[in-house]
Amino acid sequence: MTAVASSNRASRARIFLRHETILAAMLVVALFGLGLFNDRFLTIDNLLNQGRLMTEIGLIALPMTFVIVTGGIDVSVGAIVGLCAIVLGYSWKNLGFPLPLAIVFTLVVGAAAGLANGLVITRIKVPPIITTIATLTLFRGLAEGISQAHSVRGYPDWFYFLGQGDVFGVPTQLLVLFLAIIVFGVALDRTTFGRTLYAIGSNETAARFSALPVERVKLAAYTLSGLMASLSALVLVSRVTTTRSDMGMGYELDAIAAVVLGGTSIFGGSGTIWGTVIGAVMIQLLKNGLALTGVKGDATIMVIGVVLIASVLIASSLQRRRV
Amino acid sequence: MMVGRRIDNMFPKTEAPIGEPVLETRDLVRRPLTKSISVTVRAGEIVGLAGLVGSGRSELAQTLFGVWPAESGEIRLMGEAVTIRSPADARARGIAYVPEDRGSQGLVRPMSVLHNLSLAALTSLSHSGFIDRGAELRLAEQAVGRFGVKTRSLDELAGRLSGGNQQKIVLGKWLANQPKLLILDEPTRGIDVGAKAEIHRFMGELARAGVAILMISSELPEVLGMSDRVLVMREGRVVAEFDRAAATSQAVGAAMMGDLGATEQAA
Amino acid sequence: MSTIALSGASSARAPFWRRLSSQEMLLAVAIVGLALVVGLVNPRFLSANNLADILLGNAYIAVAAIGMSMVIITGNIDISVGALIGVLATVSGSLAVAGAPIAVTWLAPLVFGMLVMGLQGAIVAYVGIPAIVVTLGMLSILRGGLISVTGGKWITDLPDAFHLADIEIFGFIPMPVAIMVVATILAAVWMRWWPLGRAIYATGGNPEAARLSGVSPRRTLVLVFVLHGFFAGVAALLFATQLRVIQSTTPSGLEFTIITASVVGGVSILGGVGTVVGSTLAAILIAEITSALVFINISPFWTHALQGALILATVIADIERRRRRLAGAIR
Repeated sequence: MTAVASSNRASRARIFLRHETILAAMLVVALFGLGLFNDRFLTIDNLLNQGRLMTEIGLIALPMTFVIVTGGIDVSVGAIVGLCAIVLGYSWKNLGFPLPLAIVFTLVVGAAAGLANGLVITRIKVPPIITTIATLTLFRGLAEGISQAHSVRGYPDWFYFLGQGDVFGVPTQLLVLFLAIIVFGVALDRTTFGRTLYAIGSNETAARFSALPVERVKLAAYTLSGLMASLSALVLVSRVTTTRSDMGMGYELDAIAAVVLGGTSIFGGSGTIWGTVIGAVMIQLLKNGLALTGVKGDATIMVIGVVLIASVLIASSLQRRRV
Repeated sequence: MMVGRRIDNMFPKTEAPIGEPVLETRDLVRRPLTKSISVTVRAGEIVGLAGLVGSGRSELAQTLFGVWPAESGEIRLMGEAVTIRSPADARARGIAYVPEDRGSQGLVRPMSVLHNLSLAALTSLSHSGFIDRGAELRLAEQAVGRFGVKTRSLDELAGRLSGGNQQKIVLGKWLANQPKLLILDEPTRGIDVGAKAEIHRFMGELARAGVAILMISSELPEVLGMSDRVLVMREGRVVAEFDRAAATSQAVGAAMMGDLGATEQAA
Repeated sequence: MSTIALSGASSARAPFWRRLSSQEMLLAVAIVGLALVVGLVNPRFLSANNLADILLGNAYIAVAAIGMSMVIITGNIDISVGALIGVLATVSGSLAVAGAPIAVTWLAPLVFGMLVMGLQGAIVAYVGIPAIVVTLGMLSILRGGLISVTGGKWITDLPDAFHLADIEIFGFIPMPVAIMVVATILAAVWMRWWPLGRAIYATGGNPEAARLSGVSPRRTLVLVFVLHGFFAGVAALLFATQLRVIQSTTPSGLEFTIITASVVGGVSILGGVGTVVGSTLAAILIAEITSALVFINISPFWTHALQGALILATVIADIERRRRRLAGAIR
């Protein structure tokens, strides 16, 4: 039996070598490559600042990993960021909520938006793609309707601590992201919840026939997706000091690209939080590297689109070879 | 009959003391294919469920297991009336179900042997949601040992094993919960002769340990050879019941065919 | 699965008027009813000018929704079409400004649209990557590429002859409406009576059955994406030629408006069912609703919320209807 256990560990190590290690190696190469090309890149200041910028996508990419592991997808997250930003500004400025209450309210709205997605997907059995495309339009539309194109500014100073402050030199939101990474990573790797996510993505029927709470776990995954999108909205508003209804536009692309680049199969059943973290870091580095070499933001979107399609293509061709 | 004697040789049926009823249903209904079913399965008893494809056997099993909860009627377990709304309810009540379609219902093929074996027992293997990986490993090693699953390692993907070994895993994953009622749906379909005999031996062992077994099989020799009692289903109803002694292939076959068989005989 | 395919096939076999009677009739009634109600509140809504504006300004959405409907009937989706229309309009306009022959400026978006969509269709069909991922990637490639190439500048000084949308057939039928009507009828007829058109339904309803009956689901899928690209090209042409300038951005959420038109028009997101007549009527209804908001003093900023609610409601109704039909079929 000890032989069985040790061979377990060996093959587990081999799997580890495959995805995350290769990604991490690519990451190191990219870091030094960018550092060689541009001496502003490999500075502590720049790297910490990139961490700050990465947080908004990172917070969304974590639950997106859960959703994609179940074989689903959530393209409404960017719209939820927009809606939550507007809800924060509107409930504080127009409804007169004290800011702490407005923050809690925003988180509740985000979770409710995700729960709504989950209910439509699990109860009415509308495919996740269609559900979240419809709610993308709905949530973005609600943001536009509520805001009437007005932006809200002038938040109290303490609120900016989240998006602009730091703790012992580390950007505040980066600490939030670290904490979230650990929670999501442990949840996926070590809990029955995480194991159920994998089982659903690998074979939903068998998961149901194994008496696993399939519907409840899916519902939780989409609700988490909404909740983390609202947290991302808070960080974003705090960083840029204003709310607009077009906030978070296109975040779904970056988050899905990070997850897929991180080795999670778009068909569900496999993937890790650590992979997603590396994927998110790589995308942020890509953006930063392109910006430092003078490429504009719009061209960056284009590159991320290429990265998304390329990584899915490569992953699917690798998978085919393995079978 | 000669056929009967050959069956006895192929199916080493062991006698187990038959105890109190574990499962009793009364007028169980789940449309469209379960129509007013009343059955009883006792501790230590193997009840064979015969019938043609589409007669509603799997649907009955899945209603008992909570996949398609009953619309009306009564289910009693160990004499106590229970409601079963989900497989989780069924598991909590001590029911285990080895489904008909191994590949799509029984096994998560892209998952490891280890994770498949612990899948139905995760709640008892975890403390406030965290999986006890030591306990998980012990459970899997025990199951592999007990059922003689042939696998290179516990990390091997379950889908890569042979049909017989896959079925042993499905069986093993459910026995980890120490069920009181085991429902087997085509337990030996598509597996080799050796594994088949092993599975029949396990069924005997379980019966002797007091487990009530309800076995669905489309293989008439298996039904006749393994069962203490045989129930025949047709169009969503139990239409005939035979004791082991009375259960001949002709009698059971005729009950399965129903009117169809009667007309053929008449003609 | 087989029941779904059957219902698709049997509805395709039913007489044409009966097929029109359900979703399409409902939409037609809604279009007329809404016009009357809004007209009562504000008679200016019914002015010939406003009604013409609604039709002319949104015909390109109806045309794009034809291709989208085909894609959705095969059980796929495309969210890159809004960005593609923007790119194709810019390509066409740039050629026109550069002095290319008018025929070339009109053909280029069609060809380019078929190429881009054909590529996406091939990746979806032959590599097996979900359409949502492929088209999400393509969406950002096209949108990012367009803005970084044009720098957000508008194209002006277009030659007069370029403006296809200005042509009036027989001196009174505006080109956009003519194209919308003809394209809808041709597509509807093709999908109903041509074997290849029918194959689209088979691919969406039951790919395995389609394959067994000799239809290649993969080739059909690529064909559908190529056709979708063609209609996107036509839509881009109408979009580019309706104003004197071409903006480097399309209306925000254009792809979702097009998807909404298809879905609300009765195209089932589970694949296999639907007609392009419905999607064209739905495109008109959505345009009418958007315009009506202004006339009854509701902020146009609510347009997208309304669209989202509409698509969600239709999809839920579609799924519920199928479930009931399926349950009925078993009993």
